Amino acid sequence: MQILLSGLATGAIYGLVAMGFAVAFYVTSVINFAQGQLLMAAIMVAAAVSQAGLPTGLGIVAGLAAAAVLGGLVYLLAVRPVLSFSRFSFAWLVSTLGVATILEAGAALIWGPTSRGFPVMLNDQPVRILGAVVSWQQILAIIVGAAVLAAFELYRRRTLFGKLGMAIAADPEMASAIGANTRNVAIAAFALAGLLAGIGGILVGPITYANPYLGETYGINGFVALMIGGVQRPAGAMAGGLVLGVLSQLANTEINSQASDWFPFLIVVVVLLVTPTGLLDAARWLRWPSRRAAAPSPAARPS
Amino acid sequence: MPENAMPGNRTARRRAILPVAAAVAALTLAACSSGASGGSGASGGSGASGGSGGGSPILIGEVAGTTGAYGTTGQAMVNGAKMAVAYLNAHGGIMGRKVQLQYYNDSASATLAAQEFDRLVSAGAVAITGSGDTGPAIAAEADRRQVPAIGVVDDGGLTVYPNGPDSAPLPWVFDLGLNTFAWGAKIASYALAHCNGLAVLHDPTTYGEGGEQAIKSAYAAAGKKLAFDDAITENWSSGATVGLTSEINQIKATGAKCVDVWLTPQDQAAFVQAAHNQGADFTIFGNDETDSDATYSGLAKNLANGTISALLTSEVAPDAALKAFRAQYKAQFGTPSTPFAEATYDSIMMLRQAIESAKSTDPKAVQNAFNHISGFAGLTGTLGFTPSKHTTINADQLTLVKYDAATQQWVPVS
Repeated sequence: MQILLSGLATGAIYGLVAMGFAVAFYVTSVINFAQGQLLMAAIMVAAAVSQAGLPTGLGIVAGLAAAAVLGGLVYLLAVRPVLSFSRFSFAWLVSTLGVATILEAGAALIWGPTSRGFPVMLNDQPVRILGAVVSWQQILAIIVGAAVLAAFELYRRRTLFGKLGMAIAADPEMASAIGANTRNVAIAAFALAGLLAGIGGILVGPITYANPYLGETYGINGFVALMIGGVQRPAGAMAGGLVLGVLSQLANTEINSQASDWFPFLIVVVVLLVTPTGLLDAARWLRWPSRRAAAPSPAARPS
Repeated sequence: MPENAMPGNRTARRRAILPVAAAVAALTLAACSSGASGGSGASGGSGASGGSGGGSPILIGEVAGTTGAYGTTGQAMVNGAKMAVAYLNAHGGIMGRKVQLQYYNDSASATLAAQEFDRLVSAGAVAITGSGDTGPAIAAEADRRQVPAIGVVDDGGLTVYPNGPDSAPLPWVFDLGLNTFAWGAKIASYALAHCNGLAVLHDPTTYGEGGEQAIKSAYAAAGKKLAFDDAITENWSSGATVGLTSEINQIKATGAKCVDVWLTPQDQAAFVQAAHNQGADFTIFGNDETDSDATYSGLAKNLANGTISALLTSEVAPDAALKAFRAQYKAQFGTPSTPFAEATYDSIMMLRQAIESAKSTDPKAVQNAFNHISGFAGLTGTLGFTPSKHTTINADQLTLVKYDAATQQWVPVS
C-alpha cells in the first residue's frame, strides 16, 4: 500500500506533465521539450510571490498563470515560426530545447541556483491509510490528477473548442479550410499544456522546494510517461504517469535506491517493443478484438 | 526578380530566423549562466598588466560551479578568490608582480571543468583553485598537466586520496577545503558514543563516498557496523523524483535511531520532512555542507532542530582576522562569508607563500614549495602540507555543533 500510494502521488505529477506533452502534440504534432521547465517556472514564481509576503493562494495563481503564458509563448516564439516555414520541419526539437535552456538559465539568474523555500501547503500533515503513511499533499496530488483528467476529457469531448482541437489534430488543412483558427487553437493547447505542468509544479513544490533545475527531471519522466501511455490521448499519458510512478517506487524499494534512475527507461523500452502506441492503446485493442478487423491500426492515425 | 527576393520568401525567412534566434539566445544565455561564464581581471588591482615592480602579471585560474546544486558554494569561492587577489595587488603583488584572476563556471560538469582547467593552463595560470563540485576531474587534469590544483578541490577526502585515508595523496592536488574524511571521522566519533545504530544515506560521488568511507572506517575500528549504508541518487541536485519514503522505511526497519544524510542541503531538508511525515524520530547528522550556509536550516526550518554536524573550530570561535574578513566580505558582496570563500582566500595566500619560497612560478617548484609549507596562519586555521598529507583540515580542527531552531544558530554540542 505504501508503494502504491507513494507511487500514485509521484505518478500523478508525471502524468500531469505527460498530459501537457500530449495536449500540445495532439493539436500540433510537436513535442514541447520545455514542458518540464514550465513546471519549474510555476514553482519558482509561486515561491517568489510567497516569499514576498503575499498570500499563498496568490502565489499559486501567479505560478499557474506564468506556466500557461509561457506555454503559449513557447508556441508563438519557438514552434509556430518553424512550422510556418515548413510544416514537416523538425527544427522545433532544437527550438523547444532552446527555450528549456533559456527558462532554466533565466530562473537561475533571477532567483539564484540554490533551492528556495516553497509554501508547505499540506506536506506537513501525514495521514495513515491501510498501514501506509503519506502526506495530505500526496493525497491532494492524486485527487487533483484524477480531477484534471476527468475535466480535460469532458472538455475535449463535450465542448466545441475541444472538438475543434480534435478536428485540427486529425486534419489541420481541412479544419483550416472550414474556418477553424488553427493558430489560436494551437496557442491555447500550448497554454493548457503549460497549465497542466504548472499544476504538477504546485503539487510537488512543497516536496521538492523551488529550484531552477527541477524541470529537467520532471520533463524527462513526463516524456517517459507519455511514451508508456501513448501519445494519442492525454488520458493515456496520465495512465503512463501513474504506471511509471508506481513501478519506480517499487524499483526503489525492491531493487535498490538508485533503481528509479534506470528502471523507467527499461519500462519504456519494453512498452515500445510490445506496444509502440502505448499501454492504453494495447489495452483497448485487447479489450475489443472485434474492432481490430473493422478499424485501422492506431499507428495509422491521419497526419 | 530572384526567387529568394520574393516578399513571401522574405516572410518565410523572417519566420525561420525566429527559432534560430531563440536557439542562439538559448546558447548565449546558457553560456552566461553556466559553462562559459567567467571573468578575469586584476580584481582590485590597478590593471592586469601593470606591475608595481615590472614583469607580466601572475595568472591564477579558478574553476568553480557558480550554478547548479552547489551554486552558492561556487560563488563564495569566486568571491574569496577576488578578495585574495585584491589584497595581494594592494600589497605589492607576488614578488613585485601584479596578480590576475581568471575564473570560469563549470556548471558542475566534469567535462567542462577539465576543458576550463586546460584553457587556464594554456593561458599561463600558475595554479588553479577549485573546483568545489568537479574535484576528481580537476585532480585528474592537475596530474596530467602537472599544474597545482589548490583550494577547495571538491571536499578533499577521496578526491585527494583516491585509495582511502591511509593512502598516498595525488601529488598535484593541495586541498584546503572541508575534508569529508575529517567530517566523517568527527561525526562517527559522536555517533559511536551516542547512537543506538547509525544509518548512512549518501550520494554516489566522491563527496558522499568520502564521508561514508570515513564513518565506516571509524565504525570498523571500533568493531561495529553501520545499521544501514546506501548510496542514492534520489533528489540529487534537487531533481526530486520518487522521494525518500522507501529509504526512510528501510532505515526504520533496521531500528537505527541516527541517520547521517550525506546529500545536498536541499535534499537533507527533503529527507527530514519526509522522515517527519513517516513518523520517524531520527537524530539527524549532517556533513560539511549542512551548516556552511543557511540553505538547509532555511528549508527545513523547525525540523532542522537538533541536527548535528561539525564546524571548523575557527568558525565557531573566529579570531580577529576572520572577523575582519567576514565584515569585508559582507560589505563587498552583501551576503555572509562561508568557509568555502575563506578556504579559497587561504589557498591564494598560501600560493603566494609557495611562489615566494620557491622564487619561481614554475609548477614543479611551486608544487615542491607547497609540500613543505607548515604553520601557515590562515583564516581556516593553522595550515600546512607534507608530501604525504595534501589536505589541511582534519577532525581535530572541528567542533561538533547542533542546530537550535529557536535561535537559528549552530551551537557547540556540550
